[in-house]
Amino acid sequence: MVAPPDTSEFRVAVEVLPTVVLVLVAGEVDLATAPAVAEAAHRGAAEANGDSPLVLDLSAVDYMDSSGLRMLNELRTGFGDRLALHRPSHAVVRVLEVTGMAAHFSRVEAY
Amino acid sequence: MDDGMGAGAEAVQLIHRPDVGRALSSPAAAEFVLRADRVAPRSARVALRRLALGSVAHRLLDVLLCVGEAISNAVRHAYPPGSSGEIVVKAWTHEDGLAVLVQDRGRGFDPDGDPSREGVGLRLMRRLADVVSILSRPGGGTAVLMVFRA
Repeated sequence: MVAPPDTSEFRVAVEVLPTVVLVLVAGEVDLATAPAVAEAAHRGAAEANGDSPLVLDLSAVDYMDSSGLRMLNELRTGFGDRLALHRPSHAVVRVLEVTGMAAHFSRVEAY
Repeated sequence: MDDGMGAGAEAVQLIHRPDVGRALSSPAAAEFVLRADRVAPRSARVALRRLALGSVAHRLLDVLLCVGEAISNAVRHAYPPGSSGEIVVKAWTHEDGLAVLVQDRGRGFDPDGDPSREGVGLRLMRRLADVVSILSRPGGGTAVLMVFRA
């Protein structure tokens, strides 16, 4: 069996586009890093006009635990239908599915 | 600290049964102490990654997730904010898989309490590990033993 690569460093970036606020997350989302994702999302939303959709690109997240899930739930509470996940990675989908939360998050293929 | 480690000592006795004790003396084991802070879950995952790869590689993500959850729970719940508690982690491989023991000397809880009030972290652990055994009582620290079959 080929060993999976070591997890990469956590990174989060915000892009306020004309029609969408995009939050790009990479690496491990856990107790130490989940607050930075929430902070980035709120910062981006504050910069954007009105009720732009908030899209979290989670394609490069190689670990997420219940701290990440709590963060996602809080964003869902705050942003409601405006929140969508883009290409959640296997690590993200695993936690959403095991906890029965997968259906609670909308997904977008393109933004 | 006699009181604080009561639950932990009990758990260690349990895992020193002869069949498991043999594995404890093998080099495929790890033991370390972490300060209960926000980076402790990641430190434990990094430290146990090689051991998990060597024993339960096919379910590496789930195993590291459970380890992270157990440590996160200790960080979030065991010690009062601002205090610097410790978390002891012991892990050993066995021909049938991997066992991980996470202990703190914090405030403990009633493990027989209302299951609907269990946190998401503990629910994940119960779903993903083959065995989750919790020894705890209010004021008496917490020991969590998880077993992952190969």
